[in-house]
Amino acid sequence: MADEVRRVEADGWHDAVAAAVASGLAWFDWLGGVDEIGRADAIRVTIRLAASPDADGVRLETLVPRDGSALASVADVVTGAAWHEREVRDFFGVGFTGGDERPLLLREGAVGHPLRRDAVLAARVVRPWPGAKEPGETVAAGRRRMVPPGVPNPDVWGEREGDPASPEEVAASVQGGRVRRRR
Amino acid sequence: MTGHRSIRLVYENCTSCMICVRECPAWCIALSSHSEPIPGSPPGPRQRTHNILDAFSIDWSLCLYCGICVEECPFDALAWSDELPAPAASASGLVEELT
Ligand code: SF4
Ligand code: SF4
Repeated sequence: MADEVRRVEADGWHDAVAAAVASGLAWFDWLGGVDEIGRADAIRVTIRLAASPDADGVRLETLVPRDGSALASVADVVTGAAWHEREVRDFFGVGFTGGDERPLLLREGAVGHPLRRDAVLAARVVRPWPGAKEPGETVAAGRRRMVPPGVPNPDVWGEREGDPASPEEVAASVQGGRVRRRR
Repeated sequence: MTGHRSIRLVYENCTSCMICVRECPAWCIALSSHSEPIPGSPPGPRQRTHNILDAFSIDWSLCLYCGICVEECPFDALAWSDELPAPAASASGLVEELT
């Protein structure tokens, strides 16, 4: 069993979803986002539809530029997608025109979009990470620094001089592991 | 079947490898260890050492009960347990030293 994947342009999103529903794919499974940074300067939005819960599904995907662009909401044809669109707006900062504007999971007025890969978990930068120690160490020695996932390399964030790092640089440096000094 | 009420440490199995500490998404495991020469190994600059676990704690106020630490431990030193963590009056009291 494998889903068919249909890639559509962002401005054809609503029509493509409406056409899929009209063709009999009336069972809505989920809608979600993926930050494509590093491959594209975009958030990928995916909706999975099927004829029935057990049938093979179809995934429609589109890329929405990261810089605050919006997709047309599909809540008028897939009512259940409204919550998922609100979640994608909260977590990835993709707008859905014609959709429900209220935050779903973040508090009113929250800053940032936590599932973007360049979102820095600031509380994790200030709190010492218990995993920084090496086996056999009682206290973390400074020579080989380990950083946890979600915390960028200090060269990129925090101790850096000059221009702020680009989202690509921040995202590439928050994957954890040994800190490699960049020249 | 074992309940999923807390996680226990099988002290003899733990090699202080730090894997669980680093994998825990909630940062709630802390351990401290030191290395000692293996008794009976030939002394000298290349003497073989092993790690001795000094302290191992889980902060139950942060633990998600996700089981990642149990899954990831390569030495079966962590296991689900039926025992509930002891209640405490404050979050800081929920840090338990496992032995
Ligand atoms: S169960 Fe999950 S949150 Fe709890 S100590 Fe293990 S890895 Fe951490
Ligand atoms: S992963 Fe297992 S052996 Fe390694 S430190 Fe944790 S409990 Fe000990």
